[in-house]
Amino acid sequence: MGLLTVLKKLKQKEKEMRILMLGLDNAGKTTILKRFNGEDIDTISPTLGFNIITLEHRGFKLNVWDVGGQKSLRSYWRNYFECTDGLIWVVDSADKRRLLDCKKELHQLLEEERLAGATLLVFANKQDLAGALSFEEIRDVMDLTSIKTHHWQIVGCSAVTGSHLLEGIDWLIDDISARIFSMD
Amino acid sequence: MAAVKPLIYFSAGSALVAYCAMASFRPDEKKIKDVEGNRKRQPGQKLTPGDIIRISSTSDKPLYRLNKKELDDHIQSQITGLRSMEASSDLMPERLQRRGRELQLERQRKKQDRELEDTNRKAATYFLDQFSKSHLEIEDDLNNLASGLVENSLIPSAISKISKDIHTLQKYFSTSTMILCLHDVRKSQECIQMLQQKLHELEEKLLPKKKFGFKVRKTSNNKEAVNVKVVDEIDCGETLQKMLVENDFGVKDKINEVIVMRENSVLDKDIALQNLNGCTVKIMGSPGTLHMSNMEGCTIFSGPVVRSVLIENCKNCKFVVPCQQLRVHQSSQCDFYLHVRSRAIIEDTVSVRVAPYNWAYDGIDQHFALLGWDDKKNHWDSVDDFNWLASDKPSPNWCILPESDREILS
Repeated sequence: MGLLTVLKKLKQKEKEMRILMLGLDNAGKTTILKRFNGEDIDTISPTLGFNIITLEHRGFKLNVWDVGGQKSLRSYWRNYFECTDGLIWVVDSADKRRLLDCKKELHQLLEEERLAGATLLVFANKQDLAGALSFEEIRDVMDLTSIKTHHWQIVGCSAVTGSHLLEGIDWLIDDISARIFSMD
Repeated sequence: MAAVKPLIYFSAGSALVAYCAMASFRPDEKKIKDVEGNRKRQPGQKLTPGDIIRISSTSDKPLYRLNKKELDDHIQSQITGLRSMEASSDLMPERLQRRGRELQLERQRKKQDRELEDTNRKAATYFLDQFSKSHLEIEDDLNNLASGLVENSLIPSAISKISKDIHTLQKYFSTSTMILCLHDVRKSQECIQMLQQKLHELEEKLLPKKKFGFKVRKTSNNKEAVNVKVVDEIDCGETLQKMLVENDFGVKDKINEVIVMRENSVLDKDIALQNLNGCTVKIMGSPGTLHMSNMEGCTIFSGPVVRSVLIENCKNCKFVVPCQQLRVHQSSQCDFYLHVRSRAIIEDTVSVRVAPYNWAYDGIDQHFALLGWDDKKNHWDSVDDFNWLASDKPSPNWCILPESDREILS
C-alpha cells in the first residue's frame, strides 16, 4: 500500500475536502459562504484576512476558506494553496469594468503548481442584478474554455437569493469525490 | 569395567541395529561423535570416547530378541573385540603412523596447489592473448581514424565503436585482475589508458565540440511571436473592455460642471463617474452601485446606494453617500460624509477623513425606507485600512473629521 493510498483512505474515512474560495474584492465570496451556512448576510464587510467555515453537506465535511480579494490581500492567496481539493472562483457578473482583471487573476492562479490538482468551480455571482452578464457571457469573456489543466464548471448564481448555489457546490463535491475518493 | 549402555537404537531395514556410544568408559566425555560405525574403522584406529559403534547381531538371535542382560553382554563382547584390534595396532609406533598421515596430507596439498597454479597460469596466458588481440584491433582502428582513412560522415560512428570496444576491454580486464600477477595488471592498465587517451585526442581533433548557446535567429523569432501575441491580447482586451463598458450609465470626461440625476433615471442602476475635474454631481435617487474613478476636486452627493460604492484614483474630493459598502482605492485627501452599513475599507489610500452623512433632498426618506435599512446601523466612524493590519494602533491613513471642520454641503 503506497502512501498515497493511505492518505486517500484517511481522507475517505472522514470524507473531508478543503475548498478555497477566491475572486476579486466585492465578488461576493463571503456572502456565498454565509448564505450557504445560513448566516445573516446583511452586514458583511469586505474581508480583511480570511474566514474559514466547516460545512457538513451530503455527508461530506467541507472546509471552506474564504480569503479576502482586495488587491493588497491577493499576494497572500498563495499561503492558502496547499492541499486544496477544490477552488471556487467567484465573479461579480455585474462588474463589467473589472471582468478582464478578473480573467487575468484567474488564469494566473491556474498556473500555480500547488493548485494543479484542484477542481475549479466558477460562480457567476449576482445573477439577480439587472445589469449582470449571463454565465455564458462570463464564460466567453473569461475564456474559460481554454482551461485544459483543471476540471472546471461555471454556474450562474446569486448569493443574495441563494439560487443555484447548491447546484454548483454539488458539482464540485461530485467532481472532487470522484477524484480523491476513487472507488477501490 | 563398567557396563556399556546402548544409547541409541536405530531401526535399519528389518533388523534392529543398536548404535552404542562408549560414553560409559569415560563418563566425562558426553559428546557423541558422528562415526559411521565400527565397520568403517581403519585397523589400528583407536576407539575414543563418544564414538558410535555398530553392534552386529548375534549368531543365533536378532538384537531385538535379546533381553537387557543379554544385550549388555553382547555389546560388552563386541567392544572387547574392538579393544583387541586396538591392542594389535598399538604395535606400530604411533609416531610413525602420524608422520605417515602428515606426509600424505602434504602431498595432497602440494598437488592441489600445483593444479591451481597451472589453471591460473593458463587463464592468465589466455587473458593476455585476448587482451593484446583486441588491443591491436583497437589500435588499428585508431590509426585508421588518425590517418584519415575513415569517411567524414562515418567518423562519429567509428569513434563511438572504438570507445565501446575500449570499454569492453576494460571490463574484461577488471574481471580478470584476480588471476593476473601484478606486472600484468599494471601493463594492461597502461595499455587501456593509452587507448583512451588516443581516442580522446582524436575525438577533439576530428569532432570539435559544439559550443553550447542559443541560436540568435531562433530567439528573436520566438520573441516576435510572443510580442505579437501580447499585442493581440491587449487589443482584444481593449475592445472587449470598450464593449463591456459602452452601455454604462454615467458621466465621464467633464470639467467644472454641475450634473444632477433624478430619481427615476438612477433607480437601481449601476452608475459610473469617470474622469471628472472640478464637478459637482447630485444623484437624487437610489442607485444600485456607484463607481467613481479618476476624479479631482469634485463633490459627489447621492441618495442611498443599495450595494457598494467603489472609489479609485480620486484626489481632493468630497463624497456624501449612504451605502451598503464603501471601498476606496488609490486615493488621497478625500472627505466622506457617510452612512455605511458594513465597515468601509480603504486600500493604498491616505489622508481620508470621515463624518456622518448629512445631505437631504426631497424624497430621501422614502428612498431610505424602500431599502428597509435599519437606520441605527451606521458605521461611518469605523474604517478598515487594508494597508494597516496592526490592530493595536489605529491606521494613520484616516481619521474622523473634527466637528468644527464639517460642512453642510448642498
